[in-house]
Amino acid sequence: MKALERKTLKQHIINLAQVEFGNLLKKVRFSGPFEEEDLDVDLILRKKIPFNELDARLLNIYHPLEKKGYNVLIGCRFDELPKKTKTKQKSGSKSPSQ
Amino acid sequence: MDEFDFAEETVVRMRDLYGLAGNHEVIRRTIISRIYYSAHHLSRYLLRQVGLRPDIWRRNVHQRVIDEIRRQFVATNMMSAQMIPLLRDMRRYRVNADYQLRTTIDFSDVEYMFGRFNVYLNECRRLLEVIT
Repeated sequence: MKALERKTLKQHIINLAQVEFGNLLKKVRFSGPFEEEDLDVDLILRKKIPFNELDARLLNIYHPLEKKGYNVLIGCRFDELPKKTKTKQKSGSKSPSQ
Repeated sequence: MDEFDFAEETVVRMRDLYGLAGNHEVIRRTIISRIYYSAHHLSRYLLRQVGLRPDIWRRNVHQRVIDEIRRQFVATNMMSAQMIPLLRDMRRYRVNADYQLRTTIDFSDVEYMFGRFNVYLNECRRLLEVIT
């Protein structure tokens, strides 16, 4: 994908995500591609929402992208814990909730 | 052991591993990857039930499996359309866990993946009652 097309695609994704998630959307993070997709996208949301609501909104983002022939991989992450940079964590300092 | 049994068994073992060593990020990345592959194997199992042969596919297999799930089950109203973004979301988490080492993978990511898998597993069980 050419740089200009990639830039246009990114802006298109940002616009779609803003329409679908509104104020819930904190940030859109792009990366990749790592495998056969055109682009990887993380939608950073301010809080979790029920899966069925989340997936319904994601469908509305995927449909116009697929119509234009883009293979984009979108994941949702939640800004309930800071996770921008990798920090070393001591073994045993925290246990998974089980 | 077929793909369905393998997927269920894997997730049970991943829960055990999470309880034992989930405080290590490498383990959390591994668990996320294995949960994704469990969902992928569930999909392959479903596709085999309708006569497809994912085992002989060689290119873009992960995307093709999701595309065929949509074609075979979502387009025919046997499966919820919401399973497609769910599978892609899980795949994105797996890609993140496997490639993006500068992004922290925390406990909530693992628990999110277990939750996503359970939704898909339940949908697959419901579908299997219809097609088998």
